[in-house]
Amino acid sequence: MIEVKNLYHRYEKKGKDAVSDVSFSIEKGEIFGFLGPSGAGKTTVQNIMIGLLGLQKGEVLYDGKSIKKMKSDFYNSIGVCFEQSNLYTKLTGFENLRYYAGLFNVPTLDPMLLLESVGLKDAAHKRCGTYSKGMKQRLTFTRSLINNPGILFLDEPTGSLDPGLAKKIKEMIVGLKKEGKTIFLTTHNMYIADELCDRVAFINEGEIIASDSPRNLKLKYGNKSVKVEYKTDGKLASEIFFLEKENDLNAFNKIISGKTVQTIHSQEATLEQIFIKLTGRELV
Amino acid sequence: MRRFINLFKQDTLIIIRSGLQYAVIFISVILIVLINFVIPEKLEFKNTELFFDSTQGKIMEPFLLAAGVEKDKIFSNYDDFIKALEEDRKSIGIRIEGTSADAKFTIFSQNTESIKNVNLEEAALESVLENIRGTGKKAGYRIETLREETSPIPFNKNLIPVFLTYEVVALGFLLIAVMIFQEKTDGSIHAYRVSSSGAAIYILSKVVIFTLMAVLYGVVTTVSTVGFNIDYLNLLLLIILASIFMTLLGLLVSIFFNNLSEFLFAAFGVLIIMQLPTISYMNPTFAPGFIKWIPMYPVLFGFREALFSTGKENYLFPFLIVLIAGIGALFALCYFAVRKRLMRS
Repeated sequence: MIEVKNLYHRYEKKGKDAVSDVSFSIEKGEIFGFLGPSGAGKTTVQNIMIGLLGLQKGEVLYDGKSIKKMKSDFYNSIGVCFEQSNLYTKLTGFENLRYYAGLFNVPTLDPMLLLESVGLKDAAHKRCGTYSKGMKQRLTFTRSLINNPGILFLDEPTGSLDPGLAKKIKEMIVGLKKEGKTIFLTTHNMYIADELCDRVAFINEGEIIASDSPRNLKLKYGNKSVKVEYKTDGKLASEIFFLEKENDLNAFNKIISGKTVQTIHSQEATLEQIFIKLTGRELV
Repeated sequence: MRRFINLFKQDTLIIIRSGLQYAVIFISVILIVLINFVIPEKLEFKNTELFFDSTQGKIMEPFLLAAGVEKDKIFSNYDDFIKALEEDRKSIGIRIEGTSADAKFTIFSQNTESIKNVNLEEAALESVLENIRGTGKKAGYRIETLREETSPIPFNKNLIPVFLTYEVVALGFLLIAVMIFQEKTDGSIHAYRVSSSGAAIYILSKVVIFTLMAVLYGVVTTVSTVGFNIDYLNLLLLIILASIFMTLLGLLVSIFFNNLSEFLFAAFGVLIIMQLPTISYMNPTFAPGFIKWIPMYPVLFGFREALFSTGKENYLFPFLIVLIAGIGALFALCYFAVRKRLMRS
């Protein structure tokens, strides 16, 4: 279990806290989504959790043991996929994985199998300085798996990928969860979070504003809506109505009785809509 | 050990792929060519002496010829003498007047000669004059040497310790910075930080690579210029320890800068200070206390002793101990700085 308690962090020469009173916990085998727009404090929290940033105030505990007391062996048990593809550009994809594997004290996975799993087998012996952004991201993702860690920190793992490759990575993340791995997923993509995460926390301006399972958040904060497609003046129009609102209900009834309705779908509020409702801010 | 070897292999591959070895080979070849074929063994800045013998009966001419002066350097016409002086800007003129009992010399200077050369000329002329008059005195002194007499070091070979100190040993100082800034640009240092290999392995791997490069570079340059008949044990010890020292210093300085161009300003400052002992090396009478405290001072003179032994025993030993202590202190500082600055976000 990972526990983050009352975490604060302030960067040098900055007047306010980048992270303020952040608390949450992650159960073993859970995918925990950490959601927020750019600059909200997601990466700061992750960097404190993995020891890249010093702990200023608060506590980060792994099975009750503080991050401050962790020795270098701690890194045998975690894998980190950074948002920036921080690879050795002079080395090939295969060499990046092979030499990275050699830095751990535990049995590691076969680099070529990992490359194959993300469609990089053919590019294995090309210098990764020549890779596209998406290829670098896939390589960075596989590197985080090389030591077969129990805990994974994934920072925007599908950010630069086309839908097909993003789907492949999402399937792999689900597979990793099935293996019992604990996953801390940092993203501003609410659809991926909704699809993958057992629980999520919304972070905005360094503070957690809500934390629960996606379903509970929707039940708690989301209003059900209806999307109607209808014909008006010979053209197709589309509108969303929140039926809990009186104005929307009246407008909906007016269309149903007076227009030629083509399709009608009920829909749940998305996590993105909930985030906007809670913060007044979009996830960009 | 396994993790160190792994990182060492990776760093070596990155250096090879970066082509740094070609830069070292190129500079090494340049140094070898310079020492063996370009820089002369002796540096002589001697002026051509032109004589105008205006003594009665030209009594000086036989003495000058007997002293080895070429006939065409002795003029009997004043105008020809002045014309020849004006045509040859490196010449110095000597007019001799009067009689053997009362000879007078006038030195015609171009105003480009060093005062040392003019004074030497004066002293030589005075000596010639005393010989002519038969009033020359025998030297009232004798020289005894405490150690075995050593042959003078040729000028070109005397520069080898300078090259070893500021090219070979200083190699790691600059190259480790190049590597650190490449890793900073790639961000790969953060990936390393979240592996279970620590700062010590990170530092050691780079230090060992650049020290090995310095040893190869130094040995190839030395063998190609002075051969095998030197004190290679002390030479290698000095290259290894001084190179470790400079590589650690380069790492420590580079940690506090964001990119190579920012680092170079500080690096030039450090290297200029480190090069001050060259002044004492080329002019041994100038050796103020502060220069002797610069680490490269004993390194420079240590290299000379290893290459051209003057018979001083255990000359290097005390300095090697100090150098090892310095390396220990620098390593501790680097370890702390790498952990706290380089491997943090």
